[in-house]
Amino acid sequence: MTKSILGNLLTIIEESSGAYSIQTLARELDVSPERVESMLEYWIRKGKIESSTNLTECGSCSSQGDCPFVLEMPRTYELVIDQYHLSDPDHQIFCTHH
Amino acid sequence: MTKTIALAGNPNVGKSTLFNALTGSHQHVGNWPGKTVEKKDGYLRIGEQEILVVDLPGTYSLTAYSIEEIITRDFIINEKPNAVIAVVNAANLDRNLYLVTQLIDLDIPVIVALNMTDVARRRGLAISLKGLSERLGGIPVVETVGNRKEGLEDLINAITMVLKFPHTGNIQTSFSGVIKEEIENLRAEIEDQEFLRESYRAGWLATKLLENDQGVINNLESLKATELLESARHARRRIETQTGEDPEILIADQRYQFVDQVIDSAVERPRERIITRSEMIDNIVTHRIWGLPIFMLLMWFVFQFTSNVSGPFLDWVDLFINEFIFKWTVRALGLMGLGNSWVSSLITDGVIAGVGGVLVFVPVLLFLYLALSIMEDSGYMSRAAFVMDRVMRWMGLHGKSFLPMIIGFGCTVPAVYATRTLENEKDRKLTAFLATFMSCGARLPVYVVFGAAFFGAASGTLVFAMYLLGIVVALITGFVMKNTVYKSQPPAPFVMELPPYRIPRPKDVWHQMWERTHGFLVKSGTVILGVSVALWLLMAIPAHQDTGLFNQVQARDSLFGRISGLVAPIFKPAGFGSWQTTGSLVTGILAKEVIISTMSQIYAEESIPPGEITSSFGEDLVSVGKGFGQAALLTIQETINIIPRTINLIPFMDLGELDFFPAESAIVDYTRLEGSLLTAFTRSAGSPDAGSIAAVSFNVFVLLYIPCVSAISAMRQEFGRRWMWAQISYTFVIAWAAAVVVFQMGKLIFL
Repeated sequence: MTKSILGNLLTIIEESSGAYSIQTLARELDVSPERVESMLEYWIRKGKIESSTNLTECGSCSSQGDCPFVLEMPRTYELVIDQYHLSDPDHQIFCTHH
Repeated sequence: MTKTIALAGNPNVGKSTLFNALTGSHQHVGNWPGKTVEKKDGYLRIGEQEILVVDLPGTYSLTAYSIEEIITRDFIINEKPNAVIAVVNAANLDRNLYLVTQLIDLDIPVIVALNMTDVARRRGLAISLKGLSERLGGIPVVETVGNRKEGLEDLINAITMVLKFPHTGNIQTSFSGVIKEEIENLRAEIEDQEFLRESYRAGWLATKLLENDQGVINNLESLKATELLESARHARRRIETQTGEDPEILIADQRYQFVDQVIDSAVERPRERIITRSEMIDNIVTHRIWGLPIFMLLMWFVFQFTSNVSGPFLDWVDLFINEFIFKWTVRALGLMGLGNSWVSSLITDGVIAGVGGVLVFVPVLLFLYLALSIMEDSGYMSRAAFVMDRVMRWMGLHGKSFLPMIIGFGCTVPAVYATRTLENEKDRKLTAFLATFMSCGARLPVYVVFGAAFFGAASGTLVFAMYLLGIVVALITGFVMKNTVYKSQPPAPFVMELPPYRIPRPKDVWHQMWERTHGFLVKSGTVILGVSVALWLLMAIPAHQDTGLFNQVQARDSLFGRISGLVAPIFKPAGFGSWQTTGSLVTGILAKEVIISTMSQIYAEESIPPGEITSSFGEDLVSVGKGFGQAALLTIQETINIIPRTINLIPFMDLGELDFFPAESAIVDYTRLEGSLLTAFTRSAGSPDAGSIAAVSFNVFVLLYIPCVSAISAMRQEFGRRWMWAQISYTFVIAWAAAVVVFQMGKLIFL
């Protein structure tokens, strides 16, 4: 049975041993990087992946919430911990709820 | 009856701009009933006709996962607008057409407003409106540039046409195989039942049932459509058995494939390079093997640049503050009759020595922030985090942990708060713990002053070594903790957006440089000024009445000197057990820059006081101006010299360096503080070589010991008092142990 591209995307991330860039994923799936972003959005909606951008607030000094030391960091997408570890019986013991 | 059109589209595609252009000032803003999502509607006048335009929330799809999706979907199904304008970002059709396919599935007239076509054109995309329209079942497609109101007339014409002759696209045929079969079966069943036919579009309902859409299923349960729900359940099971996948995923996948086909037939992309320039660079820069050495090499350049290139301006600012300002302030105070008074001492030994001692390092920070801003603006900083992911994982840490740690290079406080992006509480605590080992900008002046005093041109190497040591200690600590007290699940894999490389924009680089340096200046005028005055007071108060009077006491016999002297023996095994260094380390807990301001105040006493004034104010001013010019030239020289210095790292290479002022640079020149430190450390350690080892040991201690008060309170706020004390204890012990090892091992090896 041929797996869907969406399914493949999730499998690649689940089975990866390190960070992936959108561009590498796009090459691996033979689709555009925009398509990968769109598919990641799909998995976010389904609750399998969550995304985060860097924090831009600090507010503990004179910068008053607009800290110049906060670097603009890229958006990251990550497997939702519960989902990831529940699918792996070896990791169930460490499952956290949030 | 007033006709209604709705605007739908992904977030940030210019929907609101187009809405404003269509409705002008005839708008009403409120909330969707029972929701906190903003609702905007207004009127579009076409001739005599008034049309209600509703701006729907931005959404990527019409499933029922978010409140925006539910509002958009419910509005279209329940309010049945006469047409929907699908606003689409022409530069990113891959993402935007997914929603369009879902809108068309609802069997309502859809107009595609191809917005941001100027951006698409700049990217070399040629979109055939006719081709796009045909592939989307014949719906109208018009080009718009919302912010310039271009294409508005075409859009209004399309609206008029659609309202007169409603036409729905039909792209249900985009599904294939078992999905198509099951949709057709369910569709036939829905069309057979009148009550369902009246409430729903049959094709859309069939698709939603296969997607197992809970909202729709609940509605059908209330309508008692039991047979249909049973058929849908069987259909879903058949698909799962046949394909091994969730029907919802297959439907989404086929939509994506359909979008691909539409784009392939209607969009001409520029002759695509197989690999973009950014990807070519990334193949080297983020390489599994080369990525890390390249990162190290770049950091080496950054610190060579920071410490050596800023050197000439550092000397100039030092001369300006500690000679020009100091000299003429003393003169002015003398003319006011305040010479040798406590006021004079407070201003010169307290404020100028303390605050001035720190301000001397403004050029160093400017150059550091310049280098970091260039790395950030060029897009490399994201790659650094990406490269470090492998090292972090190898240590059992989360790759994302390196993002807050990179922020820690600027300031520890936002780094602690940045750990909020980590989902796992244990990862958060551990990352915040490790971020304090990243060398913040405030510690840099310490490395620079010691580097220049003890290692001359190789000072950049000391700075680089300190930053590297911080990372190494953090990784080792992380590894140990992750395998002992913080044993937890392996980190979840993640995907990172790597922005394309670009040439840094001078305006942005300057803005970041200035904002960060400005923070340092503000701190100098507040925290450091306050500490300097307090310290002056403690150094003016005699510890005992026999040791002298107020402001007439030797520093070592002052309250500050005696208290520091009590703690000093702790640091003897590390090679810097004097009351001066101990006192600086204690005040340094308030803010790391204070280490330098304290040392400036302490050693100001031991420095040679400025001689009798023989030059005029004007002559001194000219001399300051001349010094600035020289510093500028020397900065160019030092920038160029980074190249031979780097090449000379290769064994047997010995390239010559530029020397614009050979006669002057032959004389080793130190700032006042550098000279004092060289003498003090050599004296306390017993020899110049032992003094150098003690200097390195001191820097190691400064790098690793207790974070500043702001960072400590951030830790307490985020993780509680217990965690804060654990941090304080651990950092003190590890710093002391590392400093002792460096000094004792250094003596064994080098002496």
